[in-house]
Amino acid sequence: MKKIFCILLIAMGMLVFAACSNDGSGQGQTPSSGDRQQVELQVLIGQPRFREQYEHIFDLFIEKVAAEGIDLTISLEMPADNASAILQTRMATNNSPDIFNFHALVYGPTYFRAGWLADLSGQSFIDSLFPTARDAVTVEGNIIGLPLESVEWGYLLNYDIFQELNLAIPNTISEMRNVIAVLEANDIVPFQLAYGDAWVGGLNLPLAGGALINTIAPNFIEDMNAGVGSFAQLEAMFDIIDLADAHGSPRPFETGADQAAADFANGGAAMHIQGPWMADAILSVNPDFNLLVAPLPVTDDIAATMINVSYSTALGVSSFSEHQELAARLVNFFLDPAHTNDFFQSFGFDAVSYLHNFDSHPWQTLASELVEQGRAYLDPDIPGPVKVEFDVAISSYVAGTMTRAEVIQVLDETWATYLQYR
Amino acid sequence: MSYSEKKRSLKNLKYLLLFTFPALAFYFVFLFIPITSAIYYSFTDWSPVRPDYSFVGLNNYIEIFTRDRHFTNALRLTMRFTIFIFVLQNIIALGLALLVETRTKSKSFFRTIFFLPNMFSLIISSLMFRFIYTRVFVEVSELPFLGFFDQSWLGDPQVAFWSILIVSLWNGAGYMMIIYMAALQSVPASITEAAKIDGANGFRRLTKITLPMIMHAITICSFLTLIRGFQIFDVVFRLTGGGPGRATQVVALNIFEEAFQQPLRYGYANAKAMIFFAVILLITLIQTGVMKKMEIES
Repeated sequence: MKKIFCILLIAMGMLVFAACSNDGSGQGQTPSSGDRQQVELQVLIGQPRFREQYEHIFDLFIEKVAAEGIDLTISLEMPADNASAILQTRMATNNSPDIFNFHALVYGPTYFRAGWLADLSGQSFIDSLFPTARDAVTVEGNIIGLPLESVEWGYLLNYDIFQELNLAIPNTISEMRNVIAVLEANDIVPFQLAYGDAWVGGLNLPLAGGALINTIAPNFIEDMNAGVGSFAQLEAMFDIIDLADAHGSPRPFETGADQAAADFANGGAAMHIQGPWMADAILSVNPDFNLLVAPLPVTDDIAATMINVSYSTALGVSSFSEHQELAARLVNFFLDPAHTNDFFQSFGFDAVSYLHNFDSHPWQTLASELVEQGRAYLDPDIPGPVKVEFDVAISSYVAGTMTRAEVIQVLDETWATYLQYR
Repeated sequence: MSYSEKKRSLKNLKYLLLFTFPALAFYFVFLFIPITSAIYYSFTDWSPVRPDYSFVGLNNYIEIFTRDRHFTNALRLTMRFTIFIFVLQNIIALGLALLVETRTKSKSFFRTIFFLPNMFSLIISSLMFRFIYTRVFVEVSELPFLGFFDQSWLGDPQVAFWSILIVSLWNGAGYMMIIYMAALQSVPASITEAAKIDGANGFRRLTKITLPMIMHAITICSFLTLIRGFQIFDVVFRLTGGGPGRATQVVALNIFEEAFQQPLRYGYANAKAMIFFAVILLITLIQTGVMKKMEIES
């Protein structure tokens, strides 16, 4: 009896000890086989829709390093939901993947300051990056990742409707009101709404807010970071939000982004405050859809009607990775001169590097022209938590449970809290 | 206590430990350690995006009670939801159990039918009902006399609360019904038959005989519905995401948001979790105390 008890006690103790003692130190290491090096890289990418593309790139890289005597296996994890929460939890529990994706502008600075991202300053891909792309992944002089997904965006138009009604694309909010009047006179819903996904309403911050930051409130970010600014400086952005809400599609809170894309593709509305990342979803429903990306009018100042240039997805190497060199090589491989055009076209991403010589999508024509004319701005450096709070607050605002003043107050408070935790 | 009795008692304790050891070890690793860690971290400003953290005393708790209106709103909503689920789920489950128990041949059929929703996870149930609320009800409302279905079931803050409640009731009532059915079957038929002969009507038999005799099941079901009510997360997460805005944000969702979407304040989120834990503990202790007393009286 005593023996059984002792054996069980020791076994359970060892189990508990083993379960609690994993500090990730053995992660990714496998014994060498002859002269060949065996390595496993853990990759966490929250874009399951691109699984095929990523796997293809990884297969090519595995072949490449195999010739150098490295037997590489890549463990690819692609959570469909809450990828950033999963990453943050893994980082907090000392279980870091070797490579992961993150939003360059929203989370990049925070992750870098947390010490999660390795500095990739010495990597070869940097020289080929467009200056704006390089700026997007530069924090305090360090390169924190490879910019993968860039986007020149505003709002989406069903351009066939505009052509049929002989409507010019509005340049000011007054012109927008005229367009809405004509559309409604023709029984066409002006705006497709999708508050079922709070982040869609949240797009108004980088779009309308971003335009104001780059015109009437140029010191907004600095003031907020110094603790002396207020979102009251951007109050004018509520005008376009109110306008779209007053002339939008029915049941907006029961319509998510995907459903809205389908409804928009089926001619449900003439305009949709949404980015071109939904182009695939729209065109898969209606391949003949005449999509156009246009700058969103915010005020009666045409100078504020601009295109937002954003770098969303970036690939970073964990500073905790035991295989940083190989992980960095894999990240570099995305801008390998021999393959990068194929890679980026297979994703449908826009060019980020001088190595890219493919044409942009037809719906980007106007946006690209405006960027070339200088009517564009880099996505403002608004902290991630503030963006998340804006999504929720603006949802409450259009639902009628918060006033403008309350939205402004809660955003100011969130920014102040962010400063404490930055 | 004699020597032999002491020896036997020690031996019994050994057996008790031996057989409960796996469960205790599991409990220790996955519940005790995390809970004690959470208590500790609730007094810190721990955030995963900061290299270190410091002890902040009661600051997190003070901030929750003085500045965090989202948490207090969520707590109020959760309490309201729990009261409704506590009352309605028990009434519906008991009603169903009484109805099914009156059947003879079709008892198994109805038991299966009413229990079936419990076989679906709450996430799946929520996805199904999301489709029903946003698509099916819109079509149904176009039929004659059914125009009242034309509601913003998930978009109107007032209506969304009831939409969430409906899904929770639909999913959970069957489980409680099974517990009540088991209790009803333990009520001796001779007593109810004697009462019937003495002239007691159905309502009096229910209130004077059946309910007192199934009070132990009422205690269990009350406890379970209370706990489930407080723990509500999945339905709200999938059905409304806490929206519009934060109109349907319950405490569990508020804590989740604080930890993973806001400035990643793990310490602060832990403080919220501790307060929530204390509230649930207090209410369930009162509930079980009161119900146990009623059981003894019966």
